Amino acid sequence: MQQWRIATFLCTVLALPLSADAQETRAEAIEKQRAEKASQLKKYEPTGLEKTLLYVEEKNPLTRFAPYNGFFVEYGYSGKPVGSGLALGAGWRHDLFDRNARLVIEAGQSLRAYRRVRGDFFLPRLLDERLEIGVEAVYTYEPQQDFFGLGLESSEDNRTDFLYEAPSVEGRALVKPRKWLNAGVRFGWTDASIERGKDKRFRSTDEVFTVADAPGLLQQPTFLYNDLFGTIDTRDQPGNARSGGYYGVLWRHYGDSDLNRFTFDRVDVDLQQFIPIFDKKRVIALRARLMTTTAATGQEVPFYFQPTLGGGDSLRSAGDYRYRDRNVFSGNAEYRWEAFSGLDMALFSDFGTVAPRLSDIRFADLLGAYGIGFRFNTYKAVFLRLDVAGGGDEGIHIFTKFSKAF
Amino acid sequence: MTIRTWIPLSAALSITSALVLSAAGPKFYRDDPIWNDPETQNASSVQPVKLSEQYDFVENTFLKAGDRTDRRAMNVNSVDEVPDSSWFENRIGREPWDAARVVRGPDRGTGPAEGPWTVTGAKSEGITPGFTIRDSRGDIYFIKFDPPSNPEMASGAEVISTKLFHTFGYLVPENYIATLRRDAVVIAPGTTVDDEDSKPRPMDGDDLDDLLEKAARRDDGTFRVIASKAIPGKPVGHFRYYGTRPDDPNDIYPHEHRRELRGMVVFAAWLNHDDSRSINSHDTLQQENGRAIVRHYLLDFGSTLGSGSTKAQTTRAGNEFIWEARPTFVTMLTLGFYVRPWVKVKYPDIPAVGRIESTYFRPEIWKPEYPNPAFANARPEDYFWAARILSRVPDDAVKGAVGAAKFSDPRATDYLTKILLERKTKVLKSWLNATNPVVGLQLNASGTLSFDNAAEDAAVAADAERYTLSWSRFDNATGAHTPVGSEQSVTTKTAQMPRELLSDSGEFVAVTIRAFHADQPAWQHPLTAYFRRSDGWKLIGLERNP
Repeated sequence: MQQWRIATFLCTVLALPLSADAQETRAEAIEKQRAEKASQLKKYEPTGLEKTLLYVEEKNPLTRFAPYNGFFVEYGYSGKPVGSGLALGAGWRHDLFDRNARLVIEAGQSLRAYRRVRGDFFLPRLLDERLEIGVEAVYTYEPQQDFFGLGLESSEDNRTDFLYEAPSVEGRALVKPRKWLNAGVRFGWTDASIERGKDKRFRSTDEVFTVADAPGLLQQPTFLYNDLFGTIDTRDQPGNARSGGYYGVLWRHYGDSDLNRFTFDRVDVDLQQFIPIFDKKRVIALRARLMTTTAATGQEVPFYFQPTLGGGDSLRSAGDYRYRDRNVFSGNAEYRWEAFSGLDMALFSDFGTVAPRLSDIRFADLLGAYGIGFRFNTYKAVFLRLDVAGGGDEGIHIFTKFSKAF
Repeated sequence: MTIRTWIPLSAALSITSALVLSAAGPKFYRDDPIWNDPETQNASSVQPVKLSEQYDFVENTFLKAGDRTDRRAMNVNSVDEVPDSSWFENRIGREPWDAARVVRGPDRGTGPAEGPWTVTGAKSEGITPGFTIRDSRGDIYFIKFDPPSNPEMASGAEVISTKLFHTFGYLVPENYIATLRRDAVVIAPGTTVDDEDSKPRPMDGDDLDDLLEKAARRDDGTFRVIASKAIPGKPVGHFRYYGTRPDDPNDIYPHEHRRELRGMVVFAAWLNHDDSRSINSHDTLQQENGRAIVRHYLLDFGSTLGSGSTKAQTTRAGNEFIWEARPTFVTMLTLGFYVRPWVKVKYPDIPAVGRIESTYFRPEIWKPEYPNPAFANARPEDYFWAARILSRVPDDAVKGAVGAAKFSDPRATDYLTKILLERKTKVLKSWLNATNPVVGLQLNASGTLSFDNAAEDAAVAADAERYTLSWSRFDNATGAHTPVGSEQSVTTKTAQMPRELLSDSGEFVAVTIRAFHADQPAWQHPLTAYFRRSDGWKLIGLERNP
């Protein structure tokens, strides 16, 4: 009997709370669940990753370091030359006079001791934002500029470097009558000087080359310069173009103020065309560039102002600044395809040559390059590019850049 | 312990177990089926929650958010329908709506009143610039624009999709097409705009002009805009397509298991709403009968149909997630010579429409921008539920909704109407035939069962060859079925209950029906209907794919 008493007790004790809780309607059953949840409410707690991304979206930490207005620190600096290495820039910039003017003061330095100090004051909103005028002062210090000699016959074994230093001041006026049309004029003064290169891996330019090989090596005058330029830009996204074109022409006159030996003119022509296929998922990108300098009889073009060929945005089978001469012609053709919306790939082919006279440029002298590229991008810009190129006599070149090819 | 000890203890445990089972509840309650979800808890303690758009993408793309258990939707009533709730209200799904009602949509007025519009807030950054205004009546609207490349496109898509999503049963704002005149806009003192560093500064006329520079302008200098009336209540963030809000006592069903969110993929596919993600939702705390309740709205239909809000919709939209490994690697490895088939689709050049078509469109493989857990969990009965609602939207209502976009180019109206009707047919064909399409079950007092076939009614399938029916007594307490009679086979949509069931005194009967058609294998999925005897027979339960 004792066992039956235990059994009865168990049945009663266990069943009672159950029957007391049973609901007779669906509404009651659901309400019970909600009442239970009401007793356990808690605040939503985002995960660490979510908190981080939310912080980035809301606070935009980049603006803390590099605000549009105020003191800033950022990777690189404006006008940082290719080959200068990792760099940091800092300064102060701010809109003035109710956003009708803007002042930028900045300084930057790279790990290879390249430096630049710059001040820029400009009025960007004149004539309903169709006219900008400004004045800029820049101090440039580039201690390891590469020089291999002039011409196609220059040897990689003759790699040297020189120090280029130049304070300059420039005034400008830019007009933008249409969204796609820009034109402008600049007037400036620059006092470039050349000294022994600081790259300990290579000899200094003056140890290998003479003034006959490198005009301006020993004496550098002060220049007054002025230029005219115009661009037509119909690219859909200038930072990551998939259609349209860019056509730019620049003419600049350098006047030797001291020696009457280095007065010359430079004309740059840059033509780019982007041909979309399959809703811009494939793009044929073409570029042709001509950079030419001319000097009157008795005048020369200093080697440090002569255009160069080679590097991640020209002839990719050659290193940066590999070829230099008074005239450079180059071309690039890329077949780009979208792997997904964050990555484009490209098969590319480059060609180019240099010559002392424009008439000496011959197709037979063209150097070539080919390769494959990976471009991590947003719709508007390429933010990381890895190009692997071969095709020259100097091995495989790998370019990692934080910018587009063109 | 002896065997004599075991007997009473075992008996006690057995009885207790039975009680536990019955305490889990009968299959049907006396108030089944319910048509109103009893959201009776006070949600006043709900706090605003911010959503990271990037996290939403990362989580849904790479972390497989939400519970992916293959289970029936949790918030359906006993007849497999969605009760009215803070998420969804049965509209055209329960009663016929004519075109005029569809076209009226959620609108209760005519949009912003005549007179000056006073700007009270601005959004200068981002891809969809806009600002908030107060009209002369004091009503608040958020103003959005069409892109200069595609005048009338985003506003047209917004209006059309708003009306249709409202018709389906979702909560949406009142969205009106209106005209903005620059000289009729004033800036309220103290209004700020974020500068380039996201810091607020006083807004001035130049800021307004900068905003308008990004908008499509009519020849007469005015702007066609979408005026979205402010949703009443206190905004408390966005809802996610998985999980529940931990601070909302009424939110008990994981969102990925809510029928109306799973089934939304059907409507999203039809209307190419690839932006169907959390950022385009809006939770608001509203007062109702003296308590607070969170209501869940769908927002921002500017990226539906052929519109991509700021440009024509991309060709990827609806065809591929932003990130998918396989096509990406195939494209990489083939040097781009593998071309995704949707890239080659041709679209007519109608700027007000953008990019939408019906030839390549395949509803069953349609995709939003990135994986949506509720969409991913959708089962055939969820698709069917939504497709059934869509089947009730009359063709002239579709035409009316497109007409409400007031396109100035008649080609846009004609093309979009044609495309939506063709896509509708494809959607219904796919998803009304995705499972057993038997609907409208009725059992009269004399035991005659009649039913309909939703796929046949929508003219997206030929008549079934036959139906089989298996009857049973149903024990509501234990859930046990006792088969009665042998399986019946009929070629019409009527059948007779077995005589013994009719004369029985049992309260519940069940019938399992399968449909047969050589072209529709999914019709053979079982459907079980439950009837309760009460002054005749009342349908109280229905399970598609039980």
